[in-house]
Amino acid sequence: MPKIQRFTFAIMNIILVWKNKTNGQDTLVLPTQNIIASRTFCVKVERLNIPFTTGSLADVTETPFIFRRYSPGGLASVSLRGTAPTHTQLYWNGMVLHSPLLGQSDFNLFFDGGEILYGGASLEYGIGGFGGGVLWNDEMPTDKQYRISVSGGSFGSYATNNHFSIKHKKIGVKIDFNYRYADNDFSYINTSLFGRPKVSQRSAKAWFAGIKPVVFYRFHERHELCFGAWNQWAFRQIPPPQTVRFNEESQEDRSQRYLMRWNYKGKKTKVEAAAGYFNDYLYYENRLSKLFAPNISEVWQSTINVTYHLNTWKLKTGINAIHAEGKASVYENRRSQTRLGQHFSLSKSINRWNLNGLIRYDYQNQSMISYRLGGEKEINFKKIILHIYANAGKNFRPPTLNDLYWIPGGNPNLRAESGYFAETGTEITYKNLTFNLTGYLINIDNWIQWFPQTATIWSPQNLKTVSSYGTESTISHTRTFKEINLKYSMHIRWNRAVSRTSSFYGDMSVGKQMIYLPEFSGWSTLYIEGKYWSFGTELTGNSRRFVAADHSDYLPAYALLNAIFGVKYRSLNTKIRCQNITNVGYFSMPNRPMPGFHLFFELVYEINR
Amino acid sequence: MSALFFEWACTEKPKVSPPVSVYDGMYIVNEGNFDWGEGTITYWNPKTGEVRDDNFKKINGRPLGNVAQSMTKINNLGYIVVNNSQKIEVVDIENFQSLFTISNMVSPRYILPIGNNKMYVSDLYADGVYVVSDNKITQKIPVSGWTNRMVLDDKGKVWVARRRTDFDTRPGGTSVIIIDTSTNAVVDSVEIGTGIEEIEIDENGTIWTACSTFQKANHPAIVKIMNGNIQAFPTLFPVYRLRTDGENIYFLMNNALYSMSVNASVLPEKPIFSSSGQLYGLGVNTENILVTDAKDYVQRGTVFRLDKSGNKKDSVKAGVIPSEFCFID
Repeated sequence: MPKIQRFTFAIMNIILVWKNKTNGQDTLVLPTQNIIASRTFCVKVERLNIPFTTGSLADVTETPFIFRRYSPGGLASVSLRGTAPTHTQLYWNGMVLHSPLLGQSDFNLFFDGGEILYGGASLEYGIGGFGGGVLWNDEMPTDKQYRISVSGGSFGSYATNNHFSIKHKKIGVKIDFNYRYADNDFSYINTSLFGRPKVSQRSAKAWFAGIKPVVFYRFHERHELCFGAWNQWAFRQIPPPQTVRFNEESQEDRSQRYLMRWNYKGKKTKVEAAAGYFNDYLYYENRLSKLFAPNISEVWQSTINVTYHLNTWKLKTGINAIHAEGKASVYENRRSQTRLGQHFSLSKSINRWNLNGLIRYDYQNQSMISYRLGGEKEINFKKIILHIYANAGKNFRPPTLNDLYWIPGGNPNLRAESGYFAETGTEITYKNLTFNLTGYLINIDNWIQWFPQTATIWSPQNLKTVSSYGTESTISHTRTFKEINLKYSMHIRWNRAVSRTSSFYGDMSVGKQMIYLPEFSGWSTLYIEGKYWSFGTELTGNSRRFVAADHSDYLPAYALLNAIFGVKYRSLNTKIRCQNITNVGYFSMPNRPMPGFHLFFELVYEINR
Repeated sequence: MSALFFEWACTEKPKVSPPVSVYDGMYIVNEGNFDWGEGTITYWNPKTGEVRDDNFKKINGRPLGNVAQSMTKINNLGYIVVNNSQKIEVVDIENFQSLFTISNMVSPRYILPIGNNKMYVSDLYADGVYVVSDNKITQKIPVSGWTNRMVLDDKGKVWVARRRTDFDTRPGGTSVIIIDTSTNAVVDSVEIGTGIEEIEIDENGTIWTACSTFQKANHPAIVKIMNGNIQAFPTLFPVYRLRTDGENIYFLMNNALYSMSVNASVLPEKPIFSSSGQLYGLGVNTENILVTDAKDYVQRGTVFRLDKSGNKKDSVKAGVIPSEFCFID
């Protein structure tokens, strides 16, 4: 199909867009966090804040994600609730962000905080998010806002992240621009060499750039048009593991994303429609092996949603279409896949219980019917507010283009992963003290795993049944003494992600924690903020992570301590971040050292009118 | 405070086994995962039942490196080729103490001793075969493509299996090349096909190799080269390991082990051993066939010891991705 026709096809199916959430209020250092948002019934949604404006999503301290990082600035894949990186879906205004080749995204490429949609919460936007998803939404600015931030620090790093938004009568404009560069030439103890010498990281330079302009036009009291672009560029050298003397590997990423949407807000009816075109280019180069691998993908997608309020009932229905084409360097030809979906949800409040049911039908080579049922209630005692919620349902994840068409090994007969999920949670608020506890269970059948077919050819297979279950608990407390604000919070996660089945004799991994996933992880933060100054400490940690499926080898546990000092004068905000204060040597991946003590200075000039 | 909630790992002191005679045993080379993993060496003496895991790290206090590719015994030294770490670790074959390292290679694969303290080293990316004399690289014989296993015939010629990776943009990679050891120069080549990784020489001086597509035909084959004549035995699946004890050829194909006489005119119909796991490595000595099961490649594998008829004698747990053997006779 010619491009123009594809684009027309996308526009014709116009869209929906989910509206918006409140961004975190900017303060000196105090992060904001919405534990259970009431935006959507019965599910858990949190705001994901980047701790400093020149960091990326992979630098987030208070995050539920487990990162596998190859180096600072290097590839950062994630696991949410013990699931695979492909089980975390990313959405921009409801559009699927990740490449159809890989089915996952690198969190180091994103510089904007988003919203974490836990587990079944992501079903509102699409399938595949067994762990959940991250959502970025744009809405018409309400005032003028300028934020210019620059930073510099250890390892030859410097960055800038800027935001401008303005509203004039019917027109609103938002522009975000960022750039980051780092030599990443930090020192570390090379434990693989005789005498454990201190050496410098080599071949780890990286730069990132991104621009996201969004224009809004409210041409009628009830109608609004929005045009957005999100372009990103990145180049990264891929440093060798500490066991390798030298390499010459690098990766280049380029993404161009464009969307348009239309909103109608009536008294009882809301229509949201959008169409988008996303283009991703990834170029991997290994000069030693003379491997030069361009990978290209294009995605056309569109969606339309209608919401109707009738007394205490809320009905929502919509359709969406995604057409993806791609060519990895090893494909014989350009390959494509198309997914069509429709969904219907019903919400109602009965006796202060908010109940919600959602059902989706998606078709991509096979029919997939996913659903979610849930309820929530808030109970007010004298001084205690108790909020409880629960949801359960079914989800699917179809295979990626690489799973299907990689040569050699791609398996066109793969079925979609399917599985059930359930979660329940409670939040108790007493004065300034909040306690939150969530329990979840995810069971995934037909888990797609790349498995050797011969000594040299690997092929994806629907091999396993995997169960992931655990708890997430947070306690936070805020106090104000005169002009000093204090906030303490602690988050502990427990997760067991185990394979339930085996496809070969003598598999010692069955029933054992899956590799790279810590059983315990968490953070603890303390922030103190005065009128002109602020101070914060952050302690994060992971228990040991096995790197052999039979648990014969593991990476040791580690804890990192960070501190932030800030001074504010009018619109000028200066911060110093001290990372890994105790200079802990640790690995996110085996033989991939991470930096010890390092510093960042950040200057932020911000005006809100 | 919250660190109390984290599960802290305890660090075990390495247990160093007391020195005992290693003869009659073998070293099993465990590749470890490419890039992030660590190669290990397991010592196994089937007669005494002694097993020593991760022998190099325990003795020398540091990991061996990334992707242990092969190990060759020359005199009383063990030469361990560590592919992605771009080096050869040389150890005392008895106590496994690290003696020195040969580096400045790109991606070494296998060693073939030539005699007079001279050896050839094949390489995945160097576009050549290294000549190492007195443990120093003295020359690189230019050869385009990935050079792999090698054998020495009785005329002083080295036959080198040469292939390409699936992503290779380099020319070559479809022929066996022949190097004259007296001049260290390529003197001839034999066009075979794609995917030539294995090469062996039997007691008659016949060269055996295997390919994934034979010449212009679109099928895999085992190929026999004798007195300049090429004879192909078409196979249903690519043969990925091929060894000989002189009298018989043993090969792995489609996750099963086959055996045939070097004088046979047809391929065997039935395997002598198969597994539901992932048969990956193969070794043959005068008494035994050793076959490795790499399982899912992210857990410790198993080595099966078989008699020459394929009957299982015993087995041992090795490291991650056991692949090659170094027999200490």
